[in-house]
Amino acid sequence: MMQQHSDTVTISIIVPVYSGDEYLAGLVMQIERLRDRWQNANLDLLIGEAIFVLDAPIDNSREMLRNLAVTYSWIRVVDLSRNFGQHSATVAGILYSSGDWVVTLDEDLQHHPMQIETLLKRACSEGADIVYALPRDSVHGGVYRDRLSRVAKFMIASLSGNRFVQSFNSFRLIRGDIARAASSICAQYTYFDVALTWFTERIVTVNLDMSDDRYKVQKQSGYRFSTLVQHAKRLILTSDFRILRFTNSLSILAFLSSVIYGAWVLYSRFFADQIVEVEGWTSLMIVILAFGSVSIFILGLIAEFLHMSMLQLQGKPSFFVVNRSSDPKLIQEVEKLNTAISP
Amino acid sequence: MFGLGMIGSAIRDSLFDFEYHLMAKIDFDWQDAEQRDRAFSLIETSCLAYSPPPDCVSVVWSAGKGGFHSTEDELSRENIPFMDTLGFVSKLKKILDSARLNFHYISSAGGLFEGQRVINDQSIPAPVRPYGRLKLAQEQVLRSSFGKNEIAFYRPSSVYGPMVQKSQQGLINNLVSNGRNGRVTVLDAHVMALRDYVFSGDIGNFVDKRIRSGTTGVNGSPVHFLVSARCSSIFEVVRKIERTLNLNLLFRYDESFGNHSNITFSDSVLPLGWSPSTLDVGIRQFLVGKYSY
Repeated sequence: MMQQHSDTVTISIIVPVYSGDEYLAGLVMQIERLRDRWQNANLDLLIGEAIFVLDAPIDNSREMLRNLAVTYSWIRVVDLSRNFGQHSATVAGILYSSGDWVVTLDEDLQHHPMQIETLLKRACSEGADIVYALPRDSVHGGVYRDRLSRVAKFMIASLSGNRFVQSFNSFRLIRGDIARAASSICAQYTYFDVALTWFTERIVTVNLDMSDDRYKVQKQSGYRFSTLVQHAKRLILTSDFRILRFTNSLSILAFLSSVIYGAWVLYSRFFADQIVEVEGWTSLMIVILAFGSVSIFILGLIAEFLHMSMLQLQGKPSFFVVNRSSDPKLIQEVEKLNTAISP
Repeated sequence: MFGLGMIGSAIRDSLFDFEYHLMAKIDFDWQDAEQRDRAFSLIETSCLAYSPPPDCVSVVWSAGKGGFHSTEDELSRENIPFMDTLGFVSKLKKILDSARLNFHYISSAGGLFEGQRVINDQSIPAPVRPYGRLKLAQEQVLRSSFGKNEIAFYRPSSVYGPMVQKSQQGLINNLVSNGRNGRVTVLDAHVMALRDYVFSGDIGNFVDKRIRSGTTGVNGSPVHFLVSARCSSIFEVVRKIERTLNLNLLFRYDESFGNHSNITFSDSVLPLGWSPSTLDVGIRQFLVGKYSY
């Protein structure tokens, strides 16, 4: 294993593993190729570790990775006690990492390790803390599925008020400190990508060629419809939840409207020429409006209170200090990548 | 046993659980060489008076007053009692000719490998502070004084556990203690600096097993990295303690110590039979139940 100098920019790769035994050897080979490429170019840039998080795999991934870890000392296998889902596995892997930058990618070679260079270049050129890879074309080879995914993300972005939702993807490059800080605060239902936005707004995207060959061949996805619904629910609940704020505004509006309408009803009853013929109508309206508006107003306050409590419970920080001192070094190494190495 | 700080006490407590008992508690003076000689004589007399004669004597060195911030001068003074002890143990080995003598030395993974990341069994110690250099020098002296099967080097990372009076307290102990008393903790590293934390009780159990087995090595290696191989940032530690104690910790940064570098370990260094507690479990273990204080 290469000695890590203190000024070497290190990268940790995190791969949640559930059913990838067909792809893991290929993935490891690709990571090794990238490591060699950087080493041969004498870059102070190193993939220090690739952490494979076994999320109770249903195939031979465990045995395969144990064997690969014997050959490649940079492989680390973290074995979760049961299936916790891709998000939790990613969070667990990040908490085991120590790289200056963290890359998360899928097990099935949908995300090619060689593309990490593109992510790094984008991070340097934009001064970003997070770079999400977005598919240039259809990932699944099915227009319907990809469009549905885009529409769902658009709706969630509108509901949640989080403008980054449409960028979210499991292939991401994250500044190590921010990745670990966000992972530290992630509770069971916290959506990891939303937690990341609590620590930084320097989020950019890059379009890459991606292809979900497993889905194209097997016509099977790791996600069922119910899983996607759960996903969306978590996303909305973790986000700033614009709909709750909207409820609160609505309650204030309803309260003010009822006061004005109540005043008009009273005025009509006692001072206006127009006489309310039905006996008791005015008092009934006043009572309904008063109680109704007060109830809606209190509900709005409770919604706001719940929203604040949720964010506090989920650990949204009031501030966070980030150390970007290694950025010039990364830029220097990425420039070497641009000039010294042909793709 | 020399030294009853956080680690020494944990080893002692673990031994007591297995029917070991205290024969004598002897003061050990860091300044007074004559007093130390008297202590050595007492230990020697006890060993010789033991009937039947012991077939194995284990010496544990878990003593030390210095820490990461100690100066070269302070540590060179601290090395004198260590060298005296080493001389005494060598003499004792000759006297107890028929008995096996094992030396268990508590070193420091952080001191030896400061600034290195993903430290594995191929990593080379490269201390950057006087404390780490002293630990490495003491390891080397021991290697030249004892056979490979007579010596065990334990290299723990950042240790936390039940407080012991007048002993070094690590970050977690300081955070817990200050948090409970409403005091401010001064952090000497960046909030995202990565460290590896181990519970003193786990170290006690592991060293205790080695002592009871009468052997020093595991799989032929005398070096034991007593680390969790799961790094944590100070940020994460603070949040975990806040959740466990249900309070807000107060802290401020003092970056003048320059203790910012990350120290993390690969799981390839973990010795066989070593099962470190996770941070949540470890913190709970020493705050409640058996290890409460």
